[in-house]
Amino acid sequence: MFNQFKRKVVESNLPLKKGSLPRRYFLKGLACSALVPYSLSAPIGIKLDQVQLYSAATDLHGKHWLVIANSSGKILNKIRLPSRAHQVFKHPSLALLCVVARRPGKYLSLVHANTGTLIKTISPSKGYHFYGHGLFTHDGRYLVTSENHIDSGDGRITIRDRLSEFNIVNQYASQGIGPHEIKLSNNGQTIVVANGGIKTHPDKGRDKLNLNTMRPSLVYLEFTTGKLLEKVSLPESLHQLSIRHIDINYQNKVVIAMQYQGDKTDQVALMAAHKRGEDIRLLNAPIDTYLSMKHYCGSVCYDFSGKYAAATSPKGDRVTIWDMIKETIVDEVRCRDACGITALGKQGFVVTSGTGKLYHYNIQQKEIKRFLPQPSLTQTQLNVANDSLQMSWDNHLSIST
Amino acid sequence: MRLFFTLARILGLQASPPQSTSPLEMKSSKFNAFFLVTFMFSVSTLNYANDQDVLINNEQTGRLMADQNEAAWRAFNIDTVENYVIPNYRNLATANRDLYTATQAFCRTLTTASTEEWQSSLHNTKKAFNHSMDAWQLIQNIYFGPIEIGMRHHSIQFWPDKKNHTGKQLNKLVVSKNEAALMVNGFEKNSVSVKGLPAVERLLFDDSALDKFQSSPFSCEVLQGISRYLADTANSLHDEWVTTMLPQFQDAKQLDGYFEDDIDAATALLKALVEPIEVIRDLKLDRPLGSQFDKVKFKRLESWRSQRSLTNLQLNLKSLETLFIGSTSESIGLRSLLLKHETTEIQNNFNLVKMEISKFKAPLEEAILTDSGYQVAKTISSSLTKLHKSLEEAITQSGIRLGFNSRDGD
Repeated sequence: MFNQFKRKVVESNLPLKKGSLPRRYFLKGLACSALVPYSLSAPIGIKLDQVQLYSAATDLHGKHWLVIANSSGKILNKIRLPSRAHQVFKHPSLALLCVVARRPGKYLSLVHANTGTLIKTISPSKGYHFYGHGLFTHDGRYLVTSENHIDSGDGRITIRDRLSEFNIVNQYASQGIGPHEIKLSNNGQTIVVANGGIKTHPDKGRDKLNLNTMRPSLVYLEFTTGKLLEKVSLPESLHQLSIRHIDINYQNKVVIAMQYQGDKTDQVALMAAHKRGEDIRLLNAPIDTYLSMKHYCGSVCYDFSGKYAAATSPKGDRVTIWDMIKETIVDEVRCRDACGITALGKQGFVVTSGTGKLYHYNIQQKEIKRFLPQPSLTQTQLNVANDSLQMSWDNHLSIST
Repeated sequence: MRLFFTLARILGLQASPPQSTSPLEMKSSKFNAFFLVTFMFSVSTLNYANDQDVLINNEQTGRLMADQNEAAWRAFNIDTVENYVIPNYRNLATANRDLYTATQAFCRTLTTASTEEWQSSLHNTKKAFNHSMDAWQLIQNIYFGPIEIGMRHHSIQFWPDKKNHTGKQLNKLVVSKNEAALMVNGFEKNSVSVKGLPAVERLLFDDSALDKFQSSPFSCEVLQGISRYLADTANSLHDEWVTTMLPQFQDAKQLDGYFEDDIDAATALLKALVEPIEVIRDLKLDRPLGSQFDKVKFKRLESWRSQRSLTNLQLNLKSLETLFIGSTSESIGLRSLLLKHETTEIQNNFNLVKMEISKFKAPLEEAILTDSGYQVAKTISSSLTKLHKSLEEAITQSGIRLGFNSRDGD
């Protein structure tokens, strides 16, 4: 019976091919009991002391925060936010954090990364709202956000200059509806936009207004001018697959994590890859794996090497790991309400969950383990001591360095 | 004293001697010893947990957060699996086996018997279908564990069927006369939409069912094939819960286990109590009701062909209430782990929904086509929202988060 729980690498080469999967029973969960202290391998251990984690979070009373934590989840600083936020990201060289309100976002705040002091809050221009994502350019000068022009419903990319009090210096079309996550190419000259395709209007809250006609796209724009360099979409039959979260590696290969808006019983892939000049390719995984992700990916990122990507599926309580060279799944683990994810050290990821927990996934060992702030404590003491457990970590996680 | 038996039963389970001496089982027996000690210390806690008059989370002494109270939640988990989940799957297995037997008998009468006998046999088969659907409605709320594997939830009941997959695929299968597609091995390859109860319902609850079965005897083979699949599937689900899932709840922290800890295991069970309320509201009521009276579509009701959509609702509510109260008089239902004012509010909301459902004097399929019936259905929908809210709030306050990113992501 216990063989059913043995760890197993998922093997499959065809996306959505029926009946080809090995008959797994249960997916593996935590690699060790939460009662057993978890010691990190040396290279990661050194890193751990130096890193800080940044995330939006919501406490048990429904209050929203920007949280600055150490690598084991201990909260070092927290800043109260007026409403639920989405992505937090750090300036490449300064101790400066930017937190963007979640769609339909009404604010964006800049916070000192060490002291947690609020530096400045920016509202979107009249007639616009944020979509929850943004970035600093590699040189650290510009702050870029994905926004909605409310009247037309068209996506916009807005560029603010840090050296002129974050005034808007440029704004151009995202070439699609509902731009969500954005990334810069390695040379910083191209901006990659995930146009989710879903139309919303602040008057209608978070209602999705165009599910029958939506047409998501992945768009490459010249950063300085906004000129459209390339626009790719999935085939018409997959027009309800919303392209929302992306990451880019050192070869400018984009990993795409999607959300499906069609029927609950439809069997669709949720992960894809794209390189300039090519078509979008769906990543290979057994049909049961994609089904278990419940039509929803919350966040995606590359590992340190750029060879692997990891995606979270909080609705399916899953973390999935993908080989981006072979474009196939290599591992999946169960992790309750997992959503925030970021690369940590060599071949590892940190995962945060809505249950207030923090995990480390090791690619080589194919294991997920829970971080324990103080391994000497018992579970009960630990939970009382660990204030981060009172927080639900929100959608996205970032890391210093 | 009731408690003591419950406890003894749990301890008995935990403390049973290992069957083999594999390293993994050794580990779990060490765990058992550990649990035993834990249980000794938590006897007083559990005592309160099981006593209706003195609740564990006494209003005067304040609340124990779930993390500080794992033993009580573990007892809740094991009790719920043993006395709620497993018996409900056992009922489904029995009902589906009877359905298979009934379809076999019915199909035999088609060639040999008189019209009266066909009719009475069809009647018996419909009755057996109703028993299967009754049993399914009591355990439909479990979406995790064995049922996740091989799309068995969708296979047992493919619904809602917005694009009429069941109709199209069933027709294809009947016309194909492909015997191999009905064999045990071949059946798996069929579309999920023809594998389960909605397909059986379509075959049986058709005004010209007898004519159709007679003009196309293969459709009776299909009926038997589906019923056999339903019987086998329910039987497997029951066995898998007994042999594979139950141990996961008894030792939630085991190596490479299904759960992370007892609280994680409790979360899975509580999701099966809370989340279905929204599913029932959205799919079983709001979707057929539409935005206003002239938009009502009774064919969007769950079981409009067999006119049992109201029965389904009653059984769903009964099942969820059982999960809240506890299955047996010795059970540790969720309510013993909440504060008294919370359990009162939740119970009132359950009562409200049940009272409103009892107002219908006609099948839901007819009632919602009248102005007054439509209004009652709308009221039930909003009462379900209240019930959902009260459960979710109480559970959150006890320190268990049913879902944050999973519920409202971006």
